Amino acid sequence: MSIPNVDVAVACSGTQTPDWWSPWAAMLLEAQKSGLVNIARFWTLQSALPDHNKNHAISDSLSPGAGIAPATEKKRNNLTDANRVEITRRFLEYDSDWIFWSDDDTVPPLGALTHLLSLSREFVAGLYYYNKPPHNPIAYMRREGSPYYDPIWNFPYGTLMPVDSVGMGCTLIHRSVYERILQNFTVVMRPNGSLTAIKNDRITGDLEKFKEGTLLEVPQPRIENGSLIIPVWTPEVDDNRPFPFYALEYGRTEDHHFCEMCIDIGIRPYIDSTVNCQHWKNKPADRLDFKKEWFNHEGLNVGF
Amino acid sequence: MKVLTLGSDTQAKEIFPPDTEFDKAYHPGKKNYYNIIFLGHFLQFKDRREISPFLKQLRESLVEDGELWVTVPSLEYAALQILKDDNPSFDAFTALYGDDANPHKCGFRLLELRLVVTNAGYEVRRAVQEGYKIGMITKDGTQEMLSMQNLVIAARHDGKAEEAIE
Repeated sequence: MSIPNVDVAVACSGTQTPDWWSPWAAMLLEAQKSGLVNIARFWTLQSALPDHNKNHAISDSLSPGAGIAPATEKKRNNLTDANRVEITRRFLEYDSDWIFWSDDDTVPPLGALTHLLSLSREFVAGLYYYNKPPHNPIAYMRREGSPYYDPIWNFPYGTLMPVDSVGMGCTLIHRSVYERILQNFTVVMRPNGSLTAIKNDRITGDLEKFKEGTLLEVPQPRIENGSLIIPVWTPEVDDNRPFPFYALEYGRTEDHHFCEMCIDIGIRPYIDSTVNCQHWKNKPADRLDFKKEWFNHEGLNVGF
Repeated sequence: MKVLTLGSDTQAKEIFPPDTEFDKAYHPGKKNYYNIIFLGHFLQFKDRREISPFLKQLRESLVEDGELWVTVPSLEYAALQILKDDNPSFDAFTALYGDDANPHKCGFRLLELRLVVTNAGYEVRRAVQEGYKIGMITKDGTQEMLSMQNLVIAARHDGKAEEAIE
């Protein structure tokens, strides 16, 4: 019997307390020691806090000339989604069977990884809870007939069930999930330069229509019969940005985007309510933090 | 599709296609035979010491990747109704105790149901609490009430996890 290789990914890796490191490392060591798992690689990138202004570290952390991040990417702020897609790209470049996503503030319980593996689900997650009241789990069902999601709420301990979206704080995903998305979606570029992916069976007509045109010739987005129509085209061959598995857009978590792609090709994320993580927050951010940034920005080192 | 159903006929008919042919009696001699075994509100009438050996025996009757479906009244739901409501509905007590003709011998929270199925060698694929209709015989005739049950779907899967996904 071969032992599955699991890559461990933390999309954000800022400053963690020992409260996080000790139990998190213990959980992974225990998994490795069990002989049921081989922890193959760790993937971590810095500073993925989803607040749109602290996320420059992923590109900074890449060595210049590594040939991974294009120049355009290095100039923009990188968000959680960018970190996740970068990690996913690297995960897929190697041959591990699974990727186990954790956050830098979630601590899965001992046995979490081996237990999730034993469930034979290609996409399965433990639960962690919102750090403020009502402390709902970061797992959601889509409200019927609505674009919005509600957190799961009324479920008994022991539940193993499909959900419509789940966070990546304690989530095990088989590489075939990503591979099937790659097979079933086509990447296109939008007029603002961002990448998105459209399911193959929803693409008709000429995808190269605007390819040779200048941006001025590309029509503005418009609404036609209730549908928003945005010009798109195939990215250039030397555009080596990663496949947009995760997208932090429109004020929605990047996890919704990924889960929607999965569901689109028939893969439902599952949650197991017997796997319960702690959700650590190092400290509250307050005015002092703001002043520190502000003073630093102004070149004032006043010894905070 | 070969289906063995023990317990609630009503539930079995709601779940499976109309043309499904059910075996309604269990013959331990049938090995590797059924695609699905459905235990609809059945386990709670067995002595709790019999549950594990019984489930292990049933496993032998399933084909590889055949599924065991188990429903039982939700103890969590019943307990919650009794705790929060000064006049809980009758179905909460029925969920716990059964009735005079058919008293329950055991009960399950979702976690215990899942554990007993796992320990009998199955691979649990789904474990949820869900609503179901219960027919209550009252002085005014049969009354339909809504209650909650625990459902576990598990498979006889002899391969390892990686093979199940591929």
